[in-house]
Amino acid sequence: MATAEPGEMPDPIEQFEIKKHLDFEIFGLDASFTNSSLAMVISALIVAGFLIFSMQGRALVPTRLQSLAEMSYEFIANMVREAAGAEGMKFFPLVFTLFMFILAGNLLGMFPKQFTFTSHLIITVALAMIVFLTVIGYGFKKNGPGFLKLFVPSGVPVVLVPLVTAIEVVSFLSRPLSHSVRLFANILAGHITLKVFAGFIVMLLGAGGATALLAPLPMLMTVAITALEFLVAFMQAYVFAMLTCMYLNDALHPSH
Amino acid sequence: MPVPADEKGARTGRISPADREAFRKRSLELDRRIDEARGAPVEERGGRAGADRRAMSYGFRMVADFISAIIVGGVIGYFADYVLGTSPWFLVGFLVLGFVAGVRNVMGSYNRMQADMRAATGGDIGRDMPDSAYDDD
Repeated sequence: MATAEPGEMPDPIEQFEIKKHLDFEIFGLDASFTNSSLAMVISALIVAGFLIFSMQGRALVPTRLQSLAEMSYEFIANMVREAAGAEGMKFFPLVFTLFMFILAGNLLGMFPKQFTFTSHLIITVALAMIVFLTVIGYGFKKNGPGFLKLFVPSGVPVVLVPLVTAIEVVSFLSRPLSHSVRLFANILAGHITLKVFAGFIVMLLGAGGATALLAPLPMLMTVAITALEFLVAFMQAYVFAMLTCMYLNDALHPSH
Repeated sequence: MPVPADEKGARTGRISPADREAFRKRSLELDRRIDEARGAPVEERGGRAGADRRAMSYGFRMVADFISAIIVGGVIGYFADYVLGTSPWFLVGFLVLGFVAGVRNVMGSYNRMQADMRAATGGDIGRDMPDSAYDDD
């Protein structure tokens, strides 16, 4: 399974397989430590290590690493302020953590043989649910029942209010789904494309004869897609954080 | 042989009026070039691949927005029917509601994209990515 025969297409899905490293069971639930868990632990360590190490000097004139850390801070801080206002800054730790964690996970997945945990729907759904529940919880805590105004847009004729409210509720409930599917689908599709094109090289070389001369074409494509995937890795982390800010904005200012 | 303005200034540590004039000219030239680059249409700046990539990510976003609302509507309807035993009325109703909510989601994200596009380039999505761009494919 792991090694494809020459001329045979390597399985593009195999890279997403979950493998158990340590078996665990908690109250009958499978809580094994898998390659996915390992990738998440590594990502968290990379983020924490990077920020702690780079800020060691705390220099007025920053070193390259320190300015990288400061840039990522300012990037997210500006995003939060723009999308959710100054009040939104109390959620900065959440948004920053999500962004750095996803970014580290996506970039980690760009290493050959490395598992990409953001390509699993369950992970992205869990992350999106954190945001969704935070929005609901904080929305009610801050605004009380006034949070429900989110579902009743102003300036709608009374007759239409029940219908519009139902639509708004469905639209609101669909958020965690589109929030999570977007990240998951982009990463999954990208990694499969990469594997398929890389597989073409093997197939063309393995087929023997003159077809081997065509092998550099998918090779070029693979190089191009790899570059694109780095862009996607960053873009999707950005989009996830951006949407988080927009949803949090609803919790802070529910009236449209 | 005349020494270039910036070299002379660097050597003496003083800036003559002529040097100052040269610096001013250079900074104006830089301003002009920055303005030029800002004004250029997206396709020129990011290249064709950049515009395609952006169009794809917009499309992808809208599809996710649209489909997710329908799925959520369907799931709500299905469970309402399951609990109340009214199959298939809630499923039908909520699928329609999900459809409407999906269209609303797409309209919302379109407006946001349009605003982003205007803020970034001064243009809008319709102008920067005309349908005709795909005619030659």
